[in-house]
Amino acid sequence: MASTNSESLKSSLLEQIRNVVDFNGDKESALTQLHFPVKKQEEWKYSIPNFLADSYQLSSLQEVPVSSIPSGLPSDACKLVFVNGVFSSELSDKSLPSGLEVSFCPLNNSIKPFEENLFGKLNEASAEKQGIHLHVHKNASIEKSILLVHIIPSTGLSSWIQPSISIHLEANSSASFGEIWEGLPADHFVANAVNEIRLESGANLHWLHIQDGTSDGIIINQTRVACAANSLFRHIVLSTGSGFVRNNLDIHIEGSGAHADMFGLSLGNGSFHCDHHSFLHHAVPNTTSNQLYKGIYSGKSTGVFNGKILVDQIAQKTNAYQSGRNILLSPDAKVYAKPQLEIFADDVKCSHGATIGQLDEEPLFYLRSRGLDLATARLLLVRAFASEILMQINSDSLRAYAEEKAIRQLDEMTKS
Amino acid sequence: MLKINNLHARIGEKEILKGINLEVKAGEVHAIMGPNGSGKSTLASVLAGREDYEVSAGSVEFLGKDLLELSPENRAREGLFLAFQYPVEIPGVTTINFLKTAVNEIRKYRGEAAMDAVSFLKMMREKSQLVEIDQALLSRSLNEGFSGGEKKRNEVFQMAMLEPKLAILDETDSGLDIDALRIVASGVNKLKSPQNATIVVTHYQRLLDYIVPDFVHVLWNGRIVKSGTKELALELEEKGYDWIKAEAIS
Repeated sequence: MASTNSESLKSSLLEQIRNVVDFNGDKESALTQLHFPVKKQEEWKYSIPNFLADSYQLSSLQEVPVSSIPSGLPSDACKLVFVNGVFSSELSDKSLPSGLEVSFCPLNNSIKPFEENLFGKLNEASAEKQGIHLHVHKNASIEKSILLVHIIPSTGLSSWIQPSISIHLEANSSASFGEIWEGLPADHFVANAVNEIRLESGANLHWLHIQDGTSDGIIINQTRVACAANSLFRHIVLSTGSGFVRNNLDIHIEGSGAHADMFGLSLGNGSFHCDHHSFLHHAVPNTTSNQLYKGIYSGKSTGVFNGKILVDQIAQKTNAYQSGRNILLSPDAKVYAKPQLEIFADDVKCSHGATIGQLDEEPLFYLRSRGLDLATARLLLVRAFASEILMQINSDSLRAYAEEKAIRQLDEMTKS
Repeated sequence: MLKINNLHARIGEKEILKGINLEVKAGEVHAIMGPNGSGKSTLASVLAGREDYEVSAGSVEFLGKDLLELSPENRAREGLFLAFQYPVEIPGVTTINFLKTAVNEIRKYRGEAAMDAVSFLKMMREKSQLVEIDQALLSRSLNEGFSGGEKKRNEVFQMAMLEPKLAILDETDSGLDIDALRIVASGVNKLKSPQNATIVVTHYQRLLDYIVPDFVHVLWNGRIVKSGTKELALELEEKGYDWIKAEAIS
């Protein structure tokens, strides 16, 4: 789309935000300097930037009746429901696990994003009105998984929604969250989400992000995490569907003894476009991280993995591993992988790598020589490939939920 | 059971099998021997349906059917089994898991009802004892981290489970110490019956001390250049392959 159109889209969105929120001068000027991404920008070069429609309805501010939440969610979890990005106390569970507090509160933007972009700033602009803060108390150990269930009702209009969620885990607390995007409408929409997560010392957070069933939608998800000393953060993302997904995951390891895991499983079919941008910052000595992103792509789907590890000069004794492994099931599927290491310390162990290939012929022939037909053999092999990521999910019910989605998608993908 | 007639096969431009003739009947054990590069493994692969090879001439009849027309999975369902020289490792797929699927796909092909979990486990227990394989191995990822002997034992275990009519053992002795060899061979011998047949592909005579063949064929340069009884294997062990080559050329 021409830049004039994207400028008019920006003005239209700002005007809709301005109708309900007052901007101060700083926010206004930050927004004037930013624009929607274009292809020549390095961070967006593989993610076709002309995906936006001409105009959107900022739907967060509309009254939308919703009668039910998606069925099949794990029943043993606590559900917090967001309709068009706005927290719905009506649809959410009434009783919260002890140690968890939910309040309305704007993001405080204390974690600087690796990539400052217009999407983040637009989200910030409306966060004051609809930001939600989840607080886990010191030493609390929350057994129940907490699901953040995002619903976008179908309205026949192109919706633009902006959930802003901040999570704070106090010292030595532990919790498991599931961010669930599923049952999304067939209409075109943009979900422009920002999560800001802070782990205090010794905190343990397990975050499962499921992006499922996007049809013609665009999901831009920016999650920024700060980890204090001896904290443990595990992020697992399962992306399926046929729409457009861009995830910016920034993790800053700011205290010694902290560890971060990042796992991703992308299952692309049709015209799915899935872009994972990860930024991992080791800012202090004696910290560790591990990243494994796997993708299976069929049809005309596209995967992008852009993973950067930055090790500061003082961050000695850092161990950081990153790996991207991809399987292409069709000649029209594509993967772009760009692992990057930027290391300023000299006493570190870091590695990175990326592979892109087809399903190996030898295991396929082996299974067929035992009587399995080609489709069954392929399905068995792709399931095995995916299971390495799915087994990282610690909650049994969430793992079963994610596995069911993955298997359904893999069945579809290997049929063609 | 198996009739190979003037079989030619190539990989790319290179012709490897140059006219193989062989007939195997039920109840027989045939050994195919020959120096490295003579085409032994190619013959095993072509019979199992590996797609890297192109059959350029000849025919193979298996139990009255044109074997070369069948997909690898249908050859297995018709009762052909290949024990791999290099069994593949498949992380994330357990032996039990894929064998259960395999057994039931074969039964379905033959119009038999699927096996229930209890009967399957019972059969698995019996067959694992037969080939002396630790059941714990069977719940692990297929061949991942297995020793050479464990991999070959797993091949024979799968053979026991699938109950083939014709088993082709491709260099099953390679990489095995004498104890492992004895266990593997005894498993194969226990599975022998008047209704099934075995083709043993091997470089050395050693394996044939344990799996005694009815016929020995020497493959050289893509052709069977000499056939005989088990005494031929002993002669090869003693004299090497050079005299066969000389005989073939003259």
